Amino acid sequence: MNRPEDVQVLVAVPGQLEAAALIRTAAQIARRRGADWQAVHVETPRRPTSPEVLEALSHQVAQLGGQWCVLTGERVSDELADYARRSRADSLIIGRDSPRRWYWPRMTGRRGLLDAVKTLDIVVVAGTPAARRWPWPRWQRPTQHEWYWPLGSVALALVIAWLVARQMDLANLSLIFLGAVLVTAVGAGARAAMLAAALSALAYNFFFTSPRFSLEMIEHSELSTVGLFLLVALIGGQLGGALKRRMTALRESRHQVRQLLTTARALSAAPDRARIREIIVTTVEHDWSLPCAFLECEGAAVIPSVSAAHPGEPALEAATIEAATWSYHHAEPSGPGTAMFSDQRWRMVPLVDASGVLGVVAMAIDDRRMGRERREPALLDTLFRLFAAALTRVALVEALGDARLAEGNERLRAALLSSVSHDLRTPLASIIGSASTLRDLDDSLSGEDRLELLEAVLGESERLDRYIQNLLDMTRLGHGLSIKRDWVAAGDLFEGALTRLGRALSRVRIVRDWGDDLPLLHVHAALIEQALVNILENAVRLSPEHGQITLAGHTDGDRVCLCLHDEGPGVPEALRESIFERFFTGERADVGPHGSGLGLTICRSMVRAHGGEVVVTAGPNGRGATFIISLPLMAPPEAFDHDD
Amino acid sequence: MTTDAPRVLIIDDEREIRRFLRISLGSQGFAIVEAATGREGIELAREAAFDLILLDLGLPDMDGQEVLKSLHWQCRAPVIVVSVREGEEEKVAALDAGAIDYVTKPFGIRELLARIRVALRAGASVEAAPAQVLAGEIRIDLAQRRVSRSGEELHLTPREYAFLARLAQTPGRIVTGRQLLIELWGPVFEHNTHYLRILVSRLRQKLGDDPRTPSLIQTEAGIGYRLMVEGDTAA
Repeated sequence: MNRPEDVQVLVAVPGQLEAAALIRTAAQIARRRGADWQAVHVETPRRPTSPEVLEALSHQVAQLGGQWCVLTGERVSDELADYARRSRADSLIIGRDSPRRWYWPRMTGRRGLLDAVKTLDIVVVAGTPAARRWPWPRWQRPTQHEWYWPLGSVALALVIAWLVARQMDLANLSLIFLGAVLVTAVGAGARAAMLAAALSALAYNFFFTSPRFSLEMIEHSELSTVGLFLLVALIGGQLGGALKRRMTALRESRHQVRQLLTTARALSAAPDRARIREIIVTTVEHDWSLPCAFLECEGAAVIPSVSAAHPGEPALEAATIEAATWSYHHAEPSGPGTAMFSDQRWRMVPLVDASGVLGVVAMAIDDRRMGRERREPALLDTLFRLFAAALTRVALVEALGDARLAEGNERLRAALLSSVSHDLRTPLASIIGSASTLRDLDDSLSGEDRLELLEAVLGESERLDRYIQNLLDMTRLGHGLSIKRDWVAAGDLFEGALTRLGRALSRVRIVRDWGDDLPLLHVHAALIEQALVNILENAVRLSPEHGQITLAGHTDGDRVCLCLHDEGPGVPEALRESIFERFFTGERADVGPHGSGLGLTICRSMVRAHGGEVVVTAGPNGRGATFIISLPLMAPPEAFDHDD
Repeated sequence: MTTDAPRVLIIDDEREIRRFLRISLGSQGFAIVEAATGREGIELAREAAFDLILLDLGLPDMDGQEVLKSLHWQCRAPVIVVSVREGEEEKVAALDAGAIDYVTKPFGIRELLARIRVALRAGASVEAAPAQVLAGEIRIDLAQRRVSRSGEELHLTPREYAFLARLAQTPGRIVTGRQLLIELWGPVFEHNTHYLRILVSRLRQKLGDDPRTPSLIQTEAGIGYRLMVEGDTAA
């Protein structure tokens, strides 16, 4: 036997389905105390419990978050006491109205529970009112079938018997009527067969026994023939009716399985809660002919409200809402056929999983009709478990998605912080180093050194300023930047970027290699200029002293390409994609070539915002790197053509 | 220290950093060699002997930690890591990989010069481990395994002595907590940093070192300890 861990509350469960109420009460008590609980059933060899009942009870215990345990022993109280001691439980809950008296464990005396475990609290729970039986359905009027089948078949049998009466023995004629009864039984069920049997007996008596055309009977043998016939016809009719019922049931169960499968398939494909709610209400309405509504508590609301209904939203009375609220908070069904609110028209069934109540299904029940919900309660129960499982699945998927999103955001934030701190600190390191050298080592510095250090302070301050600009751009990009497009010449963009870099360009050679025939671009000029500044600055930083940087442009099909070649170390093939994404992949900010942190990421964002793309390849002759910004080519406005 | 100018190798991809280091260290009489990539730095260190290497961790071609490992294998020059990375793990990893010190960017030139002086001394002492180390009033005699304060002999437990001797072997240089735990207790105790904290507080008491402003055993929070010496190590 497994040793339970940390169980504080035990509940002794008798082996009847009625114990469900006791289990619910125990779960509530344990929840209120914040304790773990376990349901224990003691099976005695003399009275084994049916496996179906155990299965149902254990399912309920698991649903309410408890553990389930079955013990075997001669005496209930001995086993309970022993188990309570071993599991170090501090309370034992017993139902007052256990339906079988014998299940009441002995409380006092030599082998009673009270004396056996002195440290145990024993809680006796009052019985809940037993579930009221479904009201009796009214007498169902016979259908037309049930009239036509017996009347028709008996009439037919009478005609045949009349025709063959001369050639046949009187006793054999009864077989013809018996055939009519059996046909009726198979065709219209047992009730019709009974009618047919009675009609046949009368007809047989009236037309064939002497004196003919009277219901009187003289001969004893004829009397016994009719009596025997009636007996055989009744039995045969019942058997035939049973056959008919079984056939119908078989057809129906095939139909049920198909319905269940269809529902299960629809539920498993449902992407969200709203779709599942919809499937629930339409399934119940369509397959069970019950108007249905789904109620749940939105947010912190205490009273559930209708979130889906079929057909159409019902007008629920205050009492119905009260019943739904009760079911929601007690996780128990209410309405017709249950102990609570049984006079209501709506039956409320809560959908429950381990985390609590997921919602309440309300079904409008017509209690004058022997509806399917009363004939197949187990099937309906299975259906509700399917619903609950589907809702749980969706809830889990949503929770997982939220967790992933949060994790992603966290990573992005960490990457941004490390990137920003690197981008700001690198120029600051030069500024602080140079300035502190100027202050502390002034005596040993030549005039030229001083000038160079001041130059460094100035240049790095400008670089810092550009980084801050980048940061601001980044924030704007994050908040949905609006692109104000206008027609602009590619050359102007290049020149603008070169002007902005200014002093930083002094150590490289810039070659302007774009032609005047480049088409106009329809872009937000400031953004594309910033994209150019970012790749240009990168190139300058990585170029050797007096290295050459070539700016060029050309059209390529429906795109305009702005190119920048440098003579720096180049970008290894494996890194050509990730240098633009580094910031997003959470890599270290200061590793690898073009370690400008945000710069290239921002460049790509800006170009992509225009429907373009930026890539890096090996430079001409395999030396250095080439950055290519490609932007979609657009037809210039009409006015331009006229001006030409 | 050699008679001619100490040779310093700077491995950093930031040109502006190299420029100001070249000017400032050059003005203090150091001979500077620059490398912009890790590979170039390793190459240079292999070809010529340096008295000191300043190494940035974020290099374009390989990570500084990797550079540190290969430098450690092939040359004896002390390495000071100069990086914007300020996490404790980075510092500990660099020191464990053989760096002698760690300076976080941005830094003032005076701090760097002080660290360079300590590193140069430590680099010199690696070749001949000192027999005696003087730190304030404390004399640590490594040959005779004795510790005295103002001439008065102190009674240390074997582990306290081992701790002090380990720091004294490399005066002025950080020894990481992990290293100390492995050497003094064993590899299993690598993470039991509270052992060190207890041992150091007892040791400071015996040495007469004020725990609030320790002048002998300095704690580098989260990283390790170093023994502060007055500058002269007696051979």
